[in-house]
Amino acid sequence: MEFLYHFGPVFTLSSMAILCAGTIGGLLLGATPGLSPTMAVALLIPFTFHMDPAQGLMLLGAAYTATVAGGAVSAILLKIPGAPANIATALDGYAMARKGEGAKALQLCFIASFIGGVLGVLVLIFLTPVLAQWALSFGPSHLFWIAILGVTIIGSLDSKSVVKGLLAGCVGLWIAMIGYDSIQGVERFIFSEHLEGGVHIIAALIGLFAIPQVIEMLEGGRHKRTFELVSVKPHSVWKSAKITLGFPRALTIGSIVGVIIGLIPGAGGQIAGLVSYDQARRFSPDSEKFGTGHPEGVVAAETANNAMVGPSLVPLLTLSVPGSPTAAVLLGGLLIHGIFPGPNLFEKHGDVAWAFINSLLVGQFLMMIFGLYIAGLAAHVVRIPPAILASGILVLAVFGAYSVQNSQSDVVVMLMLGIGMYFLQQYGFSPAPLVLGVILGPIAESNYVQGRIIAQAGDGMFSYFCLGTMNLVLISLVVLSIVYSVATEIRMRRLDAVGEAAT
Amino acid sequence: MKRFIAGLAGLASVAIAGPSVAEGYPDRPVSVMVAYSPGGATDFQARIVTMMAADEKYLGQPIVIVNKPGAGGKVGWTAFATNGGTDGYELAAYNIPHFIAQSIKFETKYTIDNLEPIANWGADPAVLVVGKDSPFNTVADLVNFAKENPGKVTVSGAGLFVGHHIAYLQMEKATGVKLAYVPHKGGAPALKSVIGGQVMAGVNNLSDAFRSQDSLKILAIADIERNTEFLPDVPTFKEAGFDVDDSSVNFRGLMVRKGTPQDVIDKLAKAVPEMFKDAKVAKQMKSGGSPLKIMNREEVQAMWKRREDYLKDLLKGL
Amino acid sequence: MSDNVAGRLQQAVAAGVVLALGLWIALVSFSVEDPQPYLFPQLIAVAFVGLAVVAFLRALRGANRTGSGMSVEQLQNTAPAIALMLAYIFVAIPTLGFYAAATLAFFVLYSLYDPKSHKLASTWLMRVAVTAGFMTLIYVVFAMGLRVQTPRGMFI
Repeated sequence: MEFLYHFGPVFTLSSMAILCAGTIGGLLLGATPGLSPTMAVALLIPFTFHMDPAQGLMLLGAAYTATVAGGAVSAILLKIPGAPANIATALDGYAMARKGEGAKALQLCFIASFIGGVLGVLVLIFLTPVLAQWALSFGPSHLFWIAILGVTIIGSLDSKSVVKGLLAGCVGLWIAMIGYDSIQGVERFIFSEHLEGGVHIIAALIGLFAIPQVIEMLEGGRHKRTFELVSVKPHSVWKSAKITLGFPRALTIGSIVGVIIGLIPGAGGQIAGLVSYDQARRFSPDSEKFGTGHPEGVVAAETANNAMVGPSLVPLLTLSVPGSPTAAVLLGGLLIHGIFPGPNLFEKHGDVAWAFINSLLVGQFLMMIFGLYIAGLAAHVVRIPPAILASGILVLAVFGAYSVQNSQSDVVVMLMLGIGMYFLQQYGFSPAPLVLGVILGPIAESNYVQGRIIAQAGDGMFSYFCLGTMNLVLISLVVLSIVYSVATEIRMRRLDAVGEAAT
Repeated sequence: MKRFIAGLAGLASVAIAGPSVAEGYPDRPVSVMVAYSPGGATDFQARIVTMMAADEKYLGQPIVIVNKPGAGGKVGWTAFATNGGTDGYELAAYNIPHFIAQSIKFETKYTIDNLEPIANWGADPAVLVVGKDSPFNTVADLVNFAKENPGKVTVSGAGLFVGHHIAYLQMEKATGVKLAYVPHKGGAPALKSVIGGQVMAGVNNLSDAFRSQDSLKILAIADIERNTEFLPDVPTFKEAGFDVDDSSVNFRGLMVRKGTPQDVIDKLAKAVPEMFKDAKVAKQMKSGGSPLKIMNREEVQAMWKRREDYLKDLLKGL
Repeated sequence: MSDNVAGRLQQAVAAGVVLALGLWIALVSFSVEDPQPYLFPQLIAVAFVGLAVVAFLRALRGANRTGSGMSVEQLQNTAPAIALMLAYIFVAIPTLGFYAAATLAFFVLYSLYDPKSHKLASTWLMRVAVTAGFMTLIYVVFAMGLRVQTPRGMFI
């Protein structure tokens, strides 16, 4: 209960002002297409230089919470996820927005984020000592299987065709291999000087989602509007709360998946939303409705995204291993204030560390309140004429990609991937499995390489990768996932055969 | 088309480099490229030592850190040495012996000849660490076990031909035993593997190990003398009876690309060491367990040259 | 359902391009001297080529369920936008500088696709005003907030 003693500094006037500023800033920046939440946190770090450490970290904590949720706004309204974490939100959220349920989708998203977020922070507050130990026990073999588990999701993700889904995943995995390999430093597939630094995940994300949307908005030429403008009908917040609570299964799955994935050092909160979405779909009686604008999909994805925030700070604060690009930037902000993550952080800097964690908790409330307000304003965003919206997103995408690591090559890679993706999209390929491939490729590869060295020094490959409780649990999950995908494909073929017979 | 673009790009780079005036330099924020991921020792030290840059006493403009991690630093340094600006607004952090060793061992686009040092801020020796519950209490314990079980002792470190790896190679040579090196993406994940028991031992930075002391045992330090400030009780490898010297000590500092105007270099060379000496910087570095070692441009130039000659010999034998 | 699925030829060409990419990856991955760092690319290449062959054969059979393909009109409408993007990145940024290029790209793209009449002065005034407003925002966020150092050309 130690955290209760540290609520004092959070509830002062100046702290609350800072928390509100961080939340609003985080929401707006996170919601801007092309400007990733990672950038939003980076943007706020210099503002903390002149604050005292506790307040500076409160600002960052509130901003971190808000950007994770803010990234969902552009995912829902424009199908441009702000961060890899929001890809799953776009799947059903954008479909809902097209049906005119944009406001409802945003409300569900913020309420679900709040529920997941609070649970996640509570896990961080009460279970850090226990979980830090557990998080440590994840070795290369486990991370390898987790990545493979992610790969098995690829096929069934946002694609009517499992073959094309998997093929897009393969393209993504290959894109991740471009550049110097991370362990041995060998050059691979560098066919242009722009690829020397490899493909940055944020640049790829911006390009693959934003650029095809920009081109699509302009498909109709000057006068014909082929791009269906999303209409946003007002929706009651209370109804949304009821709807959200009406999905206890999605909320439970989202929270559990978010917490577990957040805890695993290096696996990255990036895939929490996708794994949760996939699991919720498998356990749902309405699994066919997923992808067509089903509220349960939004709830599952967003609960997991924010449930991941708290637990992902366990490896960050105790091991200084960040789980996502945003967490990595946040870590930089902590270090500036002399907060060195490590096992003894809470003993040495207890007051500041607890102020930070408490600000995350308060930040969840503020995020929901301001988020619901923003959901009401969303209608104005989509009323912007497509020509302006498209031009704006293009410029933002270019700046967003550049500012990740001040690299013109990232801009070139972003645009070329985006144009390529536009054409691939016309033939049934989707960006979501492709991005998942880009995320999972390096996790699978580097852990396989490390695991192999350790295994060869120890008891051999089989016993290192395939024995032990954790390995066996993960392998059975992988097998189950593959069986499910195959079953889906067979069912879809049958449906297809019926459809063909009918025409 | 390609030639056209290349031509345009060339034209542009001339325009960017332009005539530089050190008079008003710097009139906008300066960036420092760090070739390692956020949270690693190089990253956080770079952030600390540059945080006072905006002070009128030093540069009068803030320094922004840009991370370009990958392949033990190769990705960032390659990008810097080929595409970095030469107008004094783009600096980079160097790690010795890393980039020199890589430039000897591989055909890299960066060498000490196309980079210009500004000043050195720190020297972080490598230390040998094992987990808290490890049966090894001294280097000799570990070596004896490895003699009976050749190739079975896994040792983590941050990539190939970085300081950690060089210390590891020296250790293998000095002890005559075969170990298994497990490269990681950075110092923090490598240390995590040791604490989590995924590997039996690790070579890591003194500063990172110092902060995680409660969950580790630090067996030896790869330096000429003990580190009296942070780890007075940890013996050097030499004291432990193994011939490993200070060639893996990780020197960190700032550099620019060759071609940067001399007056800009002079201005930086004068202001930056003063900035490193700031009391606030010293305090934060100390709380992070990071030894400061401030050297001016001439000292660093001599150090680079010395290290290169030395590493050429050393790497031949390893 | 078949009317919104692209024709057999188009689908086959698209699948063929993907297959060609897969074959190139396989060729590179299996022809290197040191196979150690290429173990993963080899695994991916095998899966890639296998799947691409299936997709290609399906496209030839006309058994594609997804993808509406490209129409001539769609190509005509999108070509100026894509050309502008390429010119923006490869020509304008290196010569004009980051902000000048962005201003120009925004203005041109907006004007090209703005349904309002090109003949009215008020239209152009509106276009200039929106561009200026948007670029100010960008400048505040990136140059003043993030302190991003952008490559300079003739202008900033």
